[in-house]
Amino acid sequence: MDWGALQTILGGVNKHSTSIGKIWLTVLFIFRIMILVVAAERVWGDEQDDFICNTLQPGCKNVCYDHFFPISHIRLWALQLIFVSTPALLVAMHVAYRRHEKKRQFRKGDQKCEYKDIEEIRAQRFRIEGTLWWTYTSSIFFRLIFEAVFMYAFYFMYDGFRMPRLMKCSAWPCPNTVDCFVSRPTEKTVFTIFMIAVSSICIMLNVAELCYLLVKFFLKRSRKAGNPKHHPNHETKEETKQNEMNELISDSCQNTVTGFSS
Amino acid sequence: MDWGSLHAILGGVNKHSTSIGKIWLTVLFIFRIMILVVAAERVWGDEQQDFVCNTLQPGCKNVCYDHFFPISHIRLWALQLIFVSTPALLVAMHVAYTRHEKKRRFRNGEKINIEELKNEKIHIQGPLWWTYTSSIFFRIIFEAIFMYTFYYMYDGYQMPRLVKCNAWPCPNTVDCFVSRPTEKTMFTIFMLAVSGICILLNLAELCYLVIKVCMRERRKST
Repeated sequence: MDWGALQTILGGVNKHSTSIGKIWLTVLFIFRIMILVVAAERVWGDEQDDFICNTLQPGCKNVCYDHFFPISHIRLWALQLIFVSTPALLVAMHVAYRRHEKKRQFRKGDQKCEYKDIEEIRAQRFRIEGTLWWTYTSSIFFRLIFEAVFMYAFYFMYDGFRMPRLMKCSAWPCPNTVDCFVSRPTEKTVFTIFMIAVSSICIMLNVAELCYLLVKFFLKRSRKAGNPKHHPNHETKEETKQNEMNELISDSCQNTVTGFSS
Repeated sequence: MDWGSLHAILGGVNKHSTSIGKIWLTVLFIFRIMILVVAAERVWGDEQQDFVCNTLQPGCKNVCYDHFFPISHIRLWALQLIFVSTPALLVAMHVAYTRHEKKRRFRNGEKINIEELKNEKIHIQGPLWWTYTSSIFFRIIFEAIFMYTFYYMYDGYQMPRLVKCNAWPCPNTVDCFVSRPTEKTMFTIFMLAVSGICILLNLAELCYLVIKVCMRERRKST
């Protein structure tokens, strides 16, 4: 169970996402998870081994390292990526529930069910409408919250995003004040800033997706309000054509009646 | 045979679970096994190497480490996850047995569609209900046992920064310093919290199954 398995799980969600959602998923996997695995983990790999304190006092290095790095950047990023990916599973569960309901209808032989076979139900792509819209929007909202919380946690824990070269430590058992030197501070600063930048890009993509969904929702509503006979949620192509035919017939009847009365 | 194979085995059980069971399985794989593999194992990776004792006495560090960490957190979590996942196999075995019986009846001449049989979702009723409920019950027992073991072995869930050791051959009392105690405490609390959530999900599933059976009995009697 590793990042590859997460990719498999989230890959399935991709089918029901908007275009912006698909871009977000790609950015997540390529610019965050992959960078973490192939690069960042090597940079932070020797963080405790090469954290050197100017003392012979046993235990001082351990204590100072623990004091300045309560939780390593790598672990914080791993947790951030897992938490940020997980809301998409809400959408996956909702889609699976809908499919299950449609399969149940199909098996019962429901006349209303418009699918010819079970394979079609499996392959169908659900549109983001109705209750699925709410699930999808809440998942984006949670993603934004988690991203913001983790970025703030980073800033708060490490007093900014820069990795200092030298730390002065006076925790017991260190004698007086001891100078401790961090391993690869510049490279770590570069990667921290990179990951923060990509997090911000992901936040902007999520905000854009949220706006897109809201605009789509309001446009649909205003179209519905402008044309009250039109009910898009439960229509199929045949029903749309039938509706149009009915409208034409009713219009021509109206004209006939009006023509007759006048 | 690794966590990926366990994922493959348990994925099959997923089909016959309730919705709460499916959520439980997702939480298990993403928030426990995945966190263990991608994060926790690295944190505990250097636990003995960077366990430092304030002495030059050979063997003292080994003895003190062994005294304070009889079994590492990582290994305890791995055992916990395996034991907690295994009761689901009871359900898988029962389902396989039911299918096997149906196939046998088909071969004996009864008219059953064999393809449909393979894909059929078996409802949680009758003896399968008892198997499923016992598997949830065992899951809860195992979770509770491991959580208590953790608490008992490590005197709580906090990783101390300093341990004082006077086991032979250490001279008098020696200060030993643990590697990354704060990060370890954070992960211990995280794993504990997720175990708690899994126990709640299991309890909810148990209640759901019991209520379902009671309602079915009521419908049958009326």
